[in-house]
Amino acid sequence: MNHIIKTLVFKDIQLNRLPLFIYLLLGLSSLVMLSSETPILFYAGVTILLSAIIITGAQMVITTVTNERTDQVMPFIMSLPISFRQYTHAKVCANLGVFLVFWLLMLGGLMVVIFGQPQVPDGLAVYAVILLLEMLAVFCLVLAVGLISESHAWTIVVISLTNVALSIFMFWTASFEGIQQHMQTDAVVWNQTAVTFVITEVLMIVACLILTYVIQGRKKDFV
Amino acid sequence: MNDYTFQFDKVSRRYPHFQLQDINLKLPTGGIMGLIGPNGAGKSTLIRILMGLIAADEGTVTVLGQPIPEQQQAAKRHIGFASEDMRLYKNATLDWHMSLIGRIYPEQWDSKYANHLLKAFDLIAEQKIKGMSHGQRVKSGLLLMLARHPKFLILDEPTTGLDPVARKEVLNEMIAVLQDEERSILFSSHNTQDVEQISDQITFIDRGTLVSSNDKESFIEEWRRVRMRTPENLMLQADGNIKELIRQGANTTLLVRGLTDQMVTDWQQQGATIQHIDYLSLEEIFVAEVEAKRQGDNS
Repeated sequence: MNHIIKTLVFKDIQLNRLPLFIYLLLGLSSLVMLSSETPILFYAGVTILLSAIIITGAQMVITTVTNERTDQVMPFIMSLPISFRQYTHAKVCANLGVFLVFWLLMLGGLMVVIFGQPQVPDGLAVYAVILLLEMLAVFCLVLAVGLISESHAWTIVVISLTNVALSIFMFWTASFEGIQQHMQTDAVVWNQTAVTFVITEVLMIVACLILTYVIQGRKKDFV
Repeated sequence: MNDYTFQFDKVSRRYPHFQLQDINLKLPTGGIMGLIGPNGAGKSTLIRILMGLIAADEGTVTVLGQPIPEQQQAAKRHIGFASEDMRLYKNATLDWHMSLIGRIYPEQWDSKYANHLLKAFDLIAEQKIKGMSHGQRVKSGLLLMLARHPKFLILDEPTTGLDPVARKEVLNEMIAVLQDEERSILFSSHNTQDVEQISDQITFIDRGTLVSSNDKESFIEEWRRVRMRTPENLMLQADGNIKELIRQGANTTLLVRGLTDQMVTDWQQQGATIQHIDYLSLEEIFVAEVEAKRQGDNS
C-alpha cells in the first residue's frame, strides 16, 4: 500500500473518530449487559450489540463514500495523485479495516461472554458466529452498493432492507434443526449445516469485494 | 523535457444530450491558456478529461508526458486543480486540510508559502470549512493547490461567484505565480476580463467543439469594429470578412475579421465616410467568433 492510500485511509478514520469511539463504547457496554444474569438486560445487550455493529458500518459507508459525492468532495480527492482503482482500494481498506476491527472486538467479546458466563450456553457460539458473519457480509454488500451506485439513496435503501432482513435471517437460521438443537446446550457443534452457512457467508463477502473492484475498474466517469 | 504541457488528439466524449467532439488542442510548456465558452459549452468536460476524472470515448490525451487516464497518478503529482464545484471537507479546518496535503506531497509542500498565502488571502487556518464564505472556500482551495508549487495549474471557473475584492486577491496571486516561466496554466471562465488579464493564449469553445484557438494578440489584431456613414445605395452584407452588420439609417456598424486597407478604400470609393475603427474587447471577439461558427455550422 503506497503512502497516499495509507494517508487517505487514515484521513477517513480521523474524520470519523468521534462517532466510532461512541459506537465502540456502546458495543462494549452491550457486552457488559450480555454478562448480566437478568434476562431483560441480556436481550437489551443483544439488541444494542447488533445495532452498534449496523450503525458502525452505515456510518463509515455513508460518511466516507456517499457523502463525499453529495458534498462534492470527490473532485478534491480525485485531484490527488491517485487512480480510480487506488481510490476504490483506499475506500475498501478504510471501511473494511474499521469495520473488521470493530467486528472482531465484538465477536471476541461475545465469545468471552458465551464461554465465560455459566448462564449462557456454549452452544450459542456457533449461532453467534453465523449471525456476525452475516453482518460482515451485509456490510460488504452495503460498501459495494455505496461505491458502485455512488448513490446516497440506494445505499440507504440497502441498509434499511438488510436491517429488516437481519431479523428474518435470525429466525430462519434458528429454524434449522442442525443449528437449533445445539443452541441451548454446552456443546459447540460445527455440523454440516453450520459449516454450509459459514462457507456461503464467506463466499458472499469475497464475491462482493471482487464485484466492487471489477465494476469500479470498468467505469469511465470517476467523479 | 516535454515541449507541451498537454495535448488533445481527436478527443471525443458522448453523453445523451451533449457531445465533446474531435478536440485537437495543445499548450506549450510555460503557456497560459484561457478557455472561454458559454455555460454548457464543454469547458468542464474538457478539463475533467484532462484531469483523468472522466475518460474520453475516442482520441488520446497526454498531460506532462503521461497518457491520461492510464497514468493519471503520475501526472497529477505535478498538477494543481481548482474547480468552482470542488468542495473541501466541511467539518474539518483549513489547517487539517493543509496537514493532509502536506502528508500527500511531503517533498513539494511549502509551509512558508502556505503561511504567506494565508495572510495574502486573509484566511484563518483554524476555521472550519463549513463556517467559511464562498470566497474563503475558493481561496482555501487555491492555497492548498499553490503551496505545493505544481508545474501545471488547471483552474476551472475559479473566480465564479467571488466578490470583486476576493476576485482581485485571487487574480493578483495568479499573476504572482506567473513569474515562474516553467509553469503552465489552463484557466477556464465565462468571465473574459479575468481570462484576458492573465492568459497569453485563448481558446474559444462552444457546443462541444473548438471554435478557435490562438494567441491573445492575434485575436485582438484580427478583429475590428468599423463605424461609418453609408449612402443608401452602398450594398453591404455579412459574409466573408464581415461577420456582423448593423444598419440604422445612414449609420452602419461592421464587425470585421481580417480588415485590410483595400477594404476601407473600396468602401470610401463607394461613398462611405469612415468614423471610427476600433479594437474589440475579448468578450466581443468571443461572441463574434461563436456566432460566426454557429452561422457556418448552420449554413
